[in-house]
Amino acid sequence: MKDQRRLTAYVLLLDAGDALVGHGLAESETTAEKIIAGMNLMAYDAMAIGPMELGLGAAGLRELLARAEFPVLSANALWRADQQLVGQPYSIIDVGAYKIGVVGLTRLPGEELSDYTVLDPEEVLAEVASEVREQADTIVVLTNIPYRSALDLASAVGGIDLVVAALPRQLPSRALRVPQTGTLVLTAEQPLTGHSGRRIGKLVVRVDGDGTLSQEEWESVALGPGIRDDLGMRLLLERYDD
Amino acid sequence: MSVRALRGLAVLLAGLLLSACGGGAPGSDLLSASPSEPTSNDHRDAMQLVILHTNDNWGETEPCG
Repeated sequence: MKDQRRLTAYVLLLDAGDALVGHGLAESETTAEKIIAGMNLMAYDAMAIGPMELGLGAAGLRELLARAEFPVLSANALWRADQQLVGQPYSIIDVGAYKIGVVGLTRLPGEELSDYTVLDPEEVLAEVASEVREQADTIVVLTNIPYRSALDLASAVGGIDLVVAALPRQLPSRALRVPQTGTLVLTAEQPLTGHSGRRIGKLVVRVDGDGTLSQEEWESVALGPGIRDDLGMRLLLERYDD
Repeated sequence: MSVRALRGLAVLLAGLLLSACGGGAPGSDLLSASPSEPTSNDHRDAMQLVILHTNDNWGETEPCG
């Protein structure tokens, strides 16, 4: 990431969510705190809230949100008690002469969660997209809904430039544009238990004068031993492991 | 040039200046764009953007190296 930022003037670093905890980790809040610290160090520009983050419970999640130095987004996850949004619905990020609107959407949880209400992502996106369009040149949706559902979402809701999604059944080999709307849809990692967070997607794209995206080139890069560890990150992890 | 002619010229110049400063008819092309209107996109240069994106980290903290 540091290398990419040295090489390119305009870089966004985004996470589609379900980042902080895994399935049934006993020390989940400690793990999540460590990952938030790592994401702060890497200077993430935004992250979407996933159902796994909601699984931390209200108190734990509130504390983690306060630690994040980047926008944590969801336009459709609400606190059940007061029906207020858990995170920011979207963030407008200045990149060069352009304003990039990043909207967060949370996947519907598999079971009802006592602290939260999660609204239908497609219905919410249709409302939020028009609001963001008034403030941004380009709209990016950041969401942990499965890749195939993201293709349906991108087909159904117009005016979206890019959807960064999750959970592919099979890792796509290229960036796909849905024919109905021309929206680009991406996902970087096909996670399995014990094998997750080990790939990063890299989209190189031209932003045209009207904010539309063109000339896209995309790849999913394996974070293998060929990529050297960052010293600052190693020290941070060691501090937590002590 | 007579004094009357000079006055006529002065009035003509003043009229032209007023038009150029926004005193012209509505819809005039001169300075008709107010500051609150969106900036035209036509003059922005296209730019290359790199988006790095991750998903489903699931609490993984093992270094990759």
